[in-house]
This record gives sequence, C-alpha cells and structure tokens, in this order.
Amino acid sequence: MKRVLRDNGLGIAFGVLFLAALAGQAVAGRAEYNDQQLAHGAQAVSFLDFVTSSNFVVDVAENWQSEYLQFFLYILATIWLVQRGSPESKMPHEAGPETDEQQRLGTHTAKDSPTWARVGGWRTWVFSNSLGMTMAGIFLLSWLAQSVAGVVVYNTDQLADHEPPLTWFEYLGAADFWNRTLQNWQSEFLAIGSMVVLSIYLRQRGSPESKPVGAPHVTTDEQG
Amino acid sequence: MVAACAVIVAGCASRTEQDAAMTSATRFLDAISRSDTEAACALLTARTRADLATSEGQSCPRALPADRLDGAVESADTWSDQAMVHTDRGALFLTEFDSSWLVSAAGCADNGDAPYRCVVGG
Repeated sequence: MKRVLRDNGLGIAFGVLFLAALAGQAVAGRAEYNDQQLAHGAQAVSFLDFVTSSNFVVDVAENWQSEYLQFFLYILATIWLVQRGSPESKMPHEAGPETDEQQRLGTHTAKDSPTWARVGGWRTWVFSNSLGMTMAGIFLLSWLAQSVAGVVVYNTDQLADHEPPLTWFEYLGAADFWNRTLQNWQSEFLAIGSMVVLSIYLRQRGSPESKPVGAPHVTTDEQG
Repeated sequence: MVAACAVIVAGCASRTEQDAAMTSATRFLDAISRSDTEAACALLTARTRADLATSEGQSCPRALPADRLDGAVESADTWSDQAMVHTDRGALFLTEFDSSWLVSAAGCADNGDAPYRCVVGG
C-alpha cells in the first residue's frame, strides 16, 4: 500500500485535489445560484438538483475544455516549436516528429516496449498519436458539453429577463458562448507561455519541471 | 460520455414540461376571460402578485388589468424552470415551482432587441 502511494503520489494527490475542488465548487455554486433564484423570485434548489443542473455542468465543462485544449495544443506545438533555454522545449535541432531510432520504433523497439509500439502499421500510428488525440477528443467533447449546457443556462436567463430563447445553433454564435470560451482560453495560453518563458530564468530545486539550479539560462531541454 | 451526460442533465425542453406550462397559462387566461381575478392572481408568482399590489396600491384582484390580458395559447418554450408561452396576442412568461408553473409576466409584446414589454410583471 505504501509503495502504491509512493509510486503514484502525484496522480493521487491531484486526483484528491480535483475531487475536493469540484465538491467545493458545487457547494459555492449552489449557494450563488440560489441567491440568484431568490433575487428573481424563483425557487431555490437542493444540492442534488444543482449538481445535475445545466448551471453546474456548464461551469465544469467550460473549464475542462480549455484545460484539454491547452494540453492538446502544447503537446502538438512542442513537436515543432522550440524555446531556447526552456526545459519545456526540445533542442532546436530536434524539432519535428524525430526518427524511429529516437522514438524507439521499428527495429529500435525493446522487448518491454508497449505492444502497439512494436506491432507496426495503423496500431503503431494510433499509439504514436494517442496522447494528442485523447486530449483533443476530451477537449471537443467538453466543448460540446459546454455548448449544450450553456444554451440551457442562457435561455433560462433569457426567459427570466423576458427575452426570447436561442436555438443551439444560434447560441454557438452568441457572445455568451464565446465569452465563456475565450475567458478560459486566454488564461490557459498565458499559463503555458509563462511556464515556458519563466522556466528559462527561474529554478525550482528538485522539480522535473525546472532545470537544475546551476544550469545556465541558455541550456535547453534539461530537467532538474 | 461528458457530452451525453450534459444532454441528459441539460434539461432539454420536454413535451411534458411544455404541456404543463401551457396548461397553467391557459388556466390563467381562462380565469381572466371570465373576470375571475381572484383565480388569476392565485396563478401569479408571489413576486409578481406583490409587485402588482405595490405598484397599483391595491390588492392583486383589484389591480389586475384583466381588460388588457387576453389571448389563446398556441405553443411554449421551456428551459429549466422558465417558460415562454406564445399566444395569438403575444406571450406570457412562467416560472416553475414545486406546486406548478406560475405566471411571472403576462400581456407581453415583442419589443425588438429589448426585453418583451409586459402589462403585468414588467
């Protein structure tokens, strides 16, 4: 058990933090929603009704889609784009999908290489792109969820304000949808950009996200 | 799976909810048509009833402008706990409570890009 916790501490810690934050969001979100309900002369809702409502779903989904878009773009961009001096970047001469030897494919696989890395063909192609495709898939599904739940929340507010509702298709062009989307995107892109640049000049001893403390600023692709 | 969950919980307008909202709107307009303002006021939300009484300085049954509220229900849009019921004269807006759908605004006319202008409920 101890070994399981030690070997999987990073995943477990962030899993627990995620669940705690989600629970906290549900509590705070319900309180805010019920304040608005009472202000509009409508009825307050139970905790269960709130966490199964479009209001909760849209607030969760709009954050998830931007996180997975961030990861997808970052994974893709770091194949071809470099940042000299950043531990987040490959060396400039390594830009691109790299050789089979570098990626340990083809005749360069080992006995303990993953099965789909060894078999070749479409399966190796899929496995070679599985991380990016998964991130892109989750991004698209989350963005779809944001749009579906978002149109419900938007139209509920429209009717409460005595204004007509929009269709889902009309909502995709509405300011509310793009405001929710872009306010999340800007923070994700800022975070990645900050990490890439700040890690050139700043250090965090012991973290693989940082260069070794004594490494020169010009050193690229070296982790602490 | 996330999208599927979103669709399920998103409260997409169901026929049942639309029918329930139209039924409440019909009962309200029927009460108005037979000049039963007591029954009509009972179908208003508490907030609308109170605002009407306050703005007119008299009880809801006396303050309700029944002569300016008529129409026949044609269709409804429902989103979560809000509904817009279309009539041949304009629209009504309703809010869902445990008990049923109650009218929050009536005698509403399209006002272009601005919110509908309503005889009752703003």
